[in-house]
Amino acid sequence: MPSRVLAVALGERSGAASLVQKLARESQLEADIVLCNTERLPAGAWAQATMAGRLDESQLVDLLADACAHTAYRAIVVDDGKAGREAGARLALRCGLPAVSEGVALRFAVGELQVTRIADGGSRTAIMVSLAPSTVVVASDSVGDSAAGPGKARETTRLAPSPRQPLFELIRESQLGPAEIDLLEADVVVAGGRGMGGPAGFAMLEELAQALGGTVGASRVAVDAGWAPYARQVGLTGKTVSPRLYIACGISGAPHHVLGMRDSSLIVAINSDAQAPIFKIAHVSVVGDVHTIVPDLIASLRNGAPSAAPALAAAR
Amino acid sequence: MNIAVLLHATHDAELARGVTHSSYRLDDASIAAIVLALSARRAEAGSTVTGIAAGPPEWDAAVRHALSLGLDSVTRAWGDGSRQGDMLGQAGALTAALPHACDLIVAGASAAGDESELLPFALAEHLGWPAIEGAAGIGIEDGRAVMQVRANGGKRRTYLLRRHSVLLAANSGVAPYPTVARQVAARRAAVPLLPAPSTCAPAVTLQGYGPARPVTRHLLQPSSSANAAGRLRQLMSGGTSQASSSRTIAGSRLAPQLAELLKKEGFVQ
Repeated sequence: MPSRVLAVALGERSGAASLVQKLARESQLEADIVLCNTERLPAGAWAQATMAGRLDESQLVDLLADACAHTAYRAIVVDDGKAGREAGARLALRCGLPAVSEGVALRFAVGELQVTRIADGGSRTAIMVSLAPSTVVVASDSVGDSAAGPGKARETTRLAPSPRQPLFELIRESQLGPAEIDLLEADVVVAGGRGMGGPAGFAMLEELAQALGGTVGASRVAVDAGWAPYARQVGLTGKTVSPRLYIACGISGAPHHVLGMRDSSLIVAINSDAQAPIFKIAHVSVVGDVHTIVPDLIASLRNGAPSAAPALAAAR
Repeated sequence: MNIAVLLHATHDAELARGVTHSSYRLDDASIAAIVLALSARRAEAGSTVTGIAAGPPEWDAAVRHALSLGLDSVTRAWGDGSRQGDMLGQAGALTAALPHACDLIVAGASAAGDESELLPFALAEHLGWPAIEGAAGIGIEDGRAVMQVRANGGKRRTYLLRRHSVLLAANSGVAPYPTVARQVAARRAAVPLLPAPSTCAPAVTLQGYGPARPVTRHLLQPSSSANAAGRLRQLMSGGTSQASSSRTIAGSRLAPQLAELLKKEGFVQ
């Protein structure tokens, strides 16, 4: 049986790298990694790291198929996402390997690879056993990324970028306005609560959302007051969102609101009350008047963000 | 244009208690795919839409439901050696079930379980076709068939519709309501079964099930190091604090600092 495992990290936060590191530690295997769209090596000890730069799906599959042809891997674990699913499926078909998706845990037991995967929409997990010498696993996006800190690689290879050929002919690209973007599909949500004071405050949030290419959300209080439509309500009685960026403006952080946005990747809270519960879950806390900060922020974003105070340089 | 829609059924315990005698229904991703395929048929006169599924006989009711939503025909591929989750085998079976001279395959963007979220890409690889995710609509512009695709940052991209490609539909759109006449006709229609070729022994087997993964494990679980007031505050805010990764922006020039942070995180172009 091969004694190596391969992680394919498709961004800074890689669940695949975290799964492979754990598997390699527990089973005394050598772990290799292919890094796409990022230069940050995930935490852990890596035998070989390949910095692939920016690749499209077909280039990534070619690279992985080539790697599998030269090195026998017991498992190839790919990050979730469109690129990861496509690369995993195409690699499995091209190399004739079995594939398991939504993987949340890996372990070896009596020489077999056991993959725990999410099943039935998350209502339970399924334990899959692979008898094949090599298996492709697409990690679930619910797998957390590896621990903080730089990783170490014994050997690092940097690939030269190659031109990408678009597979589909682009006619045009347009930016939707904040009101046209669905809350559930938005990467950026700028949400307002009681602290916005009225519809004028929400007009300001729309401007901020426009500047960030996102959409506007609202707390129940703001919707009840008629400042935003119900379709924009985030929380237990509204929509549950998990955007890459959630900016909570003038929202205290009541439990029923927090439950609808706590899975957001980066939560920024702006509130004048330093004791507001929203600061307990926020990654970035800004204590100040939202009516001053938001217009200044819009102006900063439109004029190009000027150099910030050194104190922030180490943030995140 | 000959369009194939990939259909996938999901188990629904509630249905088993009903009068349909089936506990499987079309999943939401398949419904989104049907809506997109029907918009493609409207855009180009003379097009046909065929539903294809690789699933057991229990899927028949779900496949018939797809027919009642407006598909022209449906086919189900299954054989004695077929097995859910065998992506390689299913890709082969679905390729055999494709309508003659198929121009376009439309699938759902994701589905629950059985590696069905990988299947559209496996089918694309089998056929040597490209795949694109987030397709939200198909129409005609200047006499050319085009498709709208959702992109990050609230963007919409319009691409020339490429024949011989796999489109993954964005989860949007409302399924057409099947008229009673259509439902009756679909219920009476035979679902052609295409025997799937038997594949080699499955390399991945299901060993058993475990409990759901506690994705919200910190919910209502306050920090053990906090005092009573702190624990109450944490409970009120929905769980433990994320102090390990939190930062406070203080002092003057708050907005420029925040703008710089958003730029650093890649949210400002």
